[in-house]
Amino acid sequence: MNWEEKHLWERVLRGEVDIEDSEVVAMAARSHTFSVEVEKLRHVQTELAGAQRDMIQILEEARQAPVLDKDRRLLEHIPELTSKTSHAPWLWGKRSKLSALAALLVAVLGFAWYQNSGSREAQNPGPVLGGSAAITLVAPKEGATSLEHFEWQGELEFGSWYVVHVLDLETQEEVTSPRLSSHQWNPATPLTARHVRWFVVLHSPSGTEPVVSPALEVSL
Amino acid sequence: MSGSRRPHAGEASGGQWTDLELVRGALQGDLQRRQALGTRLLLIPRLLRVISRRRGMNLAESDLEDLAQDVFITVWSKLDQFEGPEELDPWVYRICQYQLLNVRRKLWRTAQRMAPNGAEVLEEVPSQDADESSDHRLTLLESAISQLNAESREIIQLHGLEGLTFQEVARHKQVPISTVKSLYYRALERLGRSMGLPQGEWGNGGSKQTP
Repeated sequence: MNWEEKHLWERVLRGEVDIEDSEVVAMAARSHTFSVEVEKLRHVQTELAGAQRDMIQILEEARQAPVLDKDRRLLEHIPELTSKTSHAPWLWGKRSKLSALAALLVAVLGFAWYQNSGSREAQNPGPVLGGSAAITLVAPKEGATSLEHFEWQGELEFGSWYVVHVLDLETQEEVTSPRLSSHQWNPATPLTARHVRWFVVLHSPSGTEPVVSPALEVSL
Repeated sequence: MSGSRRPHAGEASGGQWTDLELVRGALQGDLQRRQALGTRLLLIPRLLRVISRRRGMNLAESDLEDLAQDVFITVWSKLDQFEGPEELDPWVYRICQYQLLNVRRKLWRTAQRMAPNGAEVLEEVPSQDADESSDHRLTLLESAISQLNAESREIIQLHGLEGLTFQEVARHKQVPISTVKSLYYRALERLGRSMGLPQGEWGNGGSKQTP
């Protein structure tokens, strides 16, 4: 580009003139080199216009798509958006650093309590022993016949999973749930025990120590 | 850029509020607006399904569910950054698009790790749509936009993608129009380079090179 072309091009880049302005158009008509630079910007503008059309089409298609039940369940991730106050056991949530620390503390305290609670007698339904705000076990109702009745409330880090451990206090055998994630939140593992102790262990994909909930003893 | 505007988000909420009023009210605890916002955000999983299909990513339904959870939480946590004058749906669209772009990069990195020594892995996951080249160009553009600095990216999004005029963008940003134009044209140059347009002066007769 010669001096005049460079000067005009700098004015374009400083926002003093638009590439549609007559002096730019006129210069592009006179100078092939200059027109090439203008064309490059127009090419990107054309791509942006294509992206804009694409976005509009996608938004329209998405708006017309049916809302599935599982889509509605997403609202559960932000309790503020619903009137519900209780969390389903499969509820996921991003855990802040603060709540992660709290969860770690609960894990330590919960595990220590669990280690020392072996001789505790069964209660029906017992209080949440050593319960905390981070993990709360919900006592299963009398007549529970599968692990799906063992619900808990609390946050589950994205990508992590949990296992429900149920110990039959009569046979001392453990009925453990499969690894549960958001896609397996409704376990149907049958249960015939009458007196059980149960707790939940949260596993994190980040490799930190598992979080162990307080244990709860119940008669079913 | 002329820019066609979509129906205003307030219309989707019964026309009661602008998107900014909806978001601010919801953040301040207005129950009615929170419920309206929740309904609006149900667009997220549907958007992800459509974008993923159109980009030929064909993610498993379980992966899409996980991604939707992630986007949902991201959107909620960033809502206080929504300032208008753009509308809520395109704002959400961009977050969905960005997250899918990250998934695409992750898939590419995984493919690269698993490839035999010396084997070259295409950076982009091949599209299976009929209009493959168009999708490929869009992906390149999205990737290039994501690499701009925040200020340039915002100008490109507001003017280039959202269709706001330079004046509207300048009013929103509270800067002179020339500043907006300057940022815009310089961003176009950078996008051109990122998308593989030749650098410097062309000497090939001015033919455009399709990335």
